[in-house]
Amino acid sequence: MIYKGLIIDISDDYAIVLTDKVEYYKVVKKENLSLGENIIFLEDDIYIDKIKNIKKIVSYAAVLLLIIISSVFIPNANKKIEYINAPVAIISLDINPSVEYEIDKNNRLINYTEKNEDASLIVNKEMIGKEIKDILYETIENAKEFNYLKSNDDFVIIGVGLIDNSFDLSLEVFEKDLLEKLKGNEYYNDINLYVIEANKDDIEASRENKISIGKYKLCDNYIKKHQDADFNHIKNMNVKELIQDTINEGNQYRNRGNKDLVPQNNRINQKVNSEEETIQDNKQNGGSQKGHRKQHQKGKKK
Amino acid sequence: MAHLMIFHKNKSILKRIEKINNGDINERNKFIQDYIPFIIKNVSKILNMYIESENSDEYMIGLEAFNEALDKYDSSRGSFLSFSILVIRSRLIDYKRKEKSSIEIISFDQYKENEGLREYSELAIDEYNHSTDLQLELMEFKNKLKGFNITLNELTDHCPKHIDTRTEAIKTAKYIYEHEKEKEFLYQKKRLPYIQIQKDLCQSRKFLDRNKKFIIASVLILDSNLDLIKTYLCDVERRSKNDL
Repeated sequence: MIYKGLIIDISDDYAIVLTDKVEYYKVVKKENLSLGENIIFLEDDIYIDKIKNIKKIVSYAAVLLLIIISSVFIPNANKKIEYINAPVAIISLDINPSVEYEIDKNNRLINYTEKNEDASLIVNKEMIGKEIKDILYETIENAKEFNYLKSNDDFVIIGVGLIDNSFDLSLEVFEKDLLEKLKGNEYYNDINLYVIEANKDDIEASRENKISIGKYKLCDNYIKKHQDADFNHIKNMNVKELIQDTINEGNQYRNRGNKDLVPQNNRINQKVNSEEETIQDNKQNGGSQKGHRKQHQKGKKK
Repeated sequence: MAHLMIFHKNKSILKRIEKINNGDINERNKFIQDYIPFIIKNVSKILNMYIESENSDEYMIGLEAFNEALDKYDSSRGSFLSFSILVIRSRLIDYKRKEKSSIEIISFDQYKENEGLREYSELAIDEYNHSTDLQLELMEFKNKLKGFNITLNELTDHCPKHIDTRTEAIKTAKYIYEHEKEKEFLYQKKRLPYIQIQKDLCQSRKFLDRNKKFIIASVLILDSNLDLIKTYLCDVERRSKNDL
């Protein structure tokens, strides 16, 4: 193929050309090249970064060697291998966009999953490696910018689920860290934050229902109060609708007007896994409940 | 197997040359057209420099030499392509020698008296100035890219490979350039105005993220005095259909 273009840069080993089809190429240096010169060149003239290529080949070879060595020389290869950066917890964030983050034991992001299309606007790969509280703050910032948080009627639901039980993640500390970060900026004064805890069964059930753990817990909470409701219908409701129930019960939210943390005996952020609590709540509300969960919660132990 | 392929290739070239030598002008033109990349490659290799354009002297000499080789070749001279390289090399060396010997030193008085010479040198000065301006513009473009944390090196790696993607990305760049508010946003925040672009052009966030460096570079070009490159951007779709 024949290319025509303009030399836009010259370095030690190559020149960079912008072609008339608006492609950028590195070409082999020849005599009398000057900036702004028009040239015609061929495929053979395209510069191949030999050092980059060699580095690539060497790194592939090193990885292959490592795999071979570990499978041949390390005994008990069937034993569980502990990875340095294995996920220890899942944090979810739901506004309208819904995203889940996997964090390691240093509270740093390993990976994230966009649970719906809108999520792609508020998260990006540059977040990987950063601390979760900074990421949540950045995500909320992006959500505000893209108008997902417009008024003080909007909610941010944070779900927290432990994968590794030995990992120490205190819900209160986690929430406090995030609130402090948000408090530092009056732009986020009106954000309503709701942090909810999930267990392994909840994580599994949320996967099966293809929603985030935070949203799953809200749906679970909702269905306890509306036992005739269909879970498949409920999971398509937005978080504002789901949380309306709890609002109607007159509960306060963290961070509304920058209020201090609400005392422990407040309903918000209490663990909702306990069946006894559920039965007690329902008795107080005057309804008759069966005290077991609906079939959508596959594999849950009571 | 390779030797067999070369044998067959040479045989088909011989057949074509036979037709050309029998007076088939269409075949001659087609043959030369087919071997233009070969001619460009060898002219560039012999001189160790790139051909500037299809109008350049070196390119014309290469074409003429290849044509001459068609007339002079017979099978006793070995493969046609090797023979044509010898003829091209010989003609280019002759040209370079003549070029050297045509440089003459004239006195200042001769310059003052010769109007044609003055006109010629004024043109040369204009060309020099234009070339200097272009170089300054290119350096400014490089600096502006730096302000967005983009290097020209990265553009060679991140340039969209497919013409449709490039066309779409240039469309985005034109949109930003033509809308003052979005252009202002880009310069101030150093990132694309995603919401507006997604709303008005219906392009996905994924597309914008993948091609953002290319899009930003294209906006900077449109917002510069790099007129030639601007015409590349404006004509990209048309040019890609009309290959050399």
